Amino acid sequence: MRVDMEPIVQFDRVGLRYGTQAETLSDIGFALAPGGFYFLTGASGAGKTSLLRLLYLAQRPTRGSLRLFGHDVVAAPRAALPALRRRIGVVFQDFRLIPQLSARDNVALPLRIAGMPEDELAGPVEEMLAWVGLADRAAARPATLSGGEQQRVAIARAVIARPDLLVADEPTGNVDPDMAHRLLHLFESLNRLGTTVLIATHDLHLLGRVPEARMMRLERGRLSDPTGALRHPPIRVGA
Amino acid sequence: MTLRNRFTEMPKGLLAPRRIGGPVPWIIGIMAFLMALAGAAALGLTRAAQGASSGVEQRAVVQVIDADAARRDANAAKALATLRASPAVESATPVADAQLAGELKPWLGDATGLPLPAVIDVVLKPGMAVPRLEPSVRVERQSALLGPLGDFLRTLGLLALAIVLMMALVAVAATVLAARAAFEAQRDTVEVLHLIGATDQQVKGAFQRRVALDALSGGAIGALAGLAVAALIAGRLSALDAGLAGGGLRGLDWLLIVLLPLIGAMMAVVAARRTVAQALEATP
Repeated sequence: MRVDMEPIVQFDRVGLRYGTQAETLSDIGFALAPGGFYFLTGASGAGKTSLLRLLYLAQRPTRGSLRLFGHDVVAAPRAALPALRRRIGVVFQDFRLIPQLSARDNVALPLRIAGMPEDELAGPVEEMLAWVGLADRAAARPATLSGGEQQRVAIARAVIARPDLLVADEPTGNVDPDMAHRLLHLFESLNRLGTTVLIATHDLHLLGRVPEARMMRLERGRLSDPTGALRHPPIRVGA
Repeated sequence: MTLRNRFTEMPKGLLAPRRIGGPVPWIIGIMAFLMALAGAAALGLTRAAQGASSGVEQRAVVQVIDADAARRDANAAKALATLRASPAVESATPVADAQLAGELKPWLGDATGLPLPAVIDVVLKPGMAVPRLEPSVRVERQSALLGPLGDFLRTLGLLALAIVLMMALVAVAATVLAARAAFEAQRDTVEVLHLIGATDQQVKGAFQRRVALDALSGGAIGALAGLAVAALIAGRLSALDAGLAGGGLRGLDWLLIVLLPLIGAMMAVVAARRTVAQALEATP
């Protein structure tokens, strides 16, 4: 089903440069439609993480135009960014869990930041931890969790607030195939509920499991469009 | 149940371990201790200076020195009459020979037969001078005798006050440095919080809670320890029954001694908050 509506993400001739070095990303232009499911691939050093950092507002482009949820991110004041960030769930490649907090508190963090009352937190947090198979590890600190468990906590934290856009950097890199399948199923479930999903991955098997997903490929900081995802963003609303 | 910050809803242990750790509480505690002592010294010296100079501006001693006792007594009576007639004089009281001899006894022994001067204790009205007397009569204003001592004590008091201010500045500087170091150490956590959607206000709140806990716990312990030592010293001084004690510290003084270090700690908290705010402004 394809519907014409405003893209949730709009890159237009975006460039990113660190300091005085050559551009890490050049002339990036694409749009993500609401409810779309996308994969981003590319060799190591191609600029995937830099592109994701722009997407989840860890930094702003050095040139070009970037719009998120209809807002001009380049010109937006700092004070406007938290509200945009709360609509984005991020699974970092290195998890980036807060070491002082338990798995439960890490997962609850986006809800607390968004202002959910304390007595309403327990239900969704416990449910999410159970979903990723960590109900019995809720009180554990990240240092005591395995790599795969940490990754699942990171995913639970990213999706618990039901973001409009989910950005995941190698989200199945540290889990076994069965858990990878379950996590992908979770992402698809979220996608069916309207969340736009963008997954950066090397895992070619993953690409095949979501046949309707579109693929973008980064090569040396430039985007190629092997499936036409960028020209005709797919829309899956209520599918 | 985990305690929560009602302003930010952040978990309490978000940025640092929950126990008091690191150098900040200790630095603030030592500074607060020294501030309390310096504050007590400043107030004590001010009170002593006030005690030393209290009333001396209006007091004078008139001496009639003459080896001839009859002539001395006649001149003294004349001077006493002149003083009592003067509108500048509140009171003029001759000191009895026996009292004078008694006060000189520790130095001169039995003064019977010695040609002691006739002494008149004079209290002047405020702002008035001793009226003109015979040239042979010696007039000594007590302020000329005790004034330099009062000035010296006041100078020491100001010096102690300057030390209090310097201690406060050092406490602020130490806290600012610690806040910067803490921010750098927690930069990754701060970035994650931002990326999850935390506002600067929420991040600042989490830092402020941590710094406030450190600074106020150190400040309170240091202030109480300083208060105890100041009370001990004040007790020893009063036991000496020294005139310089100037009546000792008063109730409000003790309150100030406790408040000074706590005010310093509060200043440190505010400075730390500003430091974190500036550091946050530099983040994307």
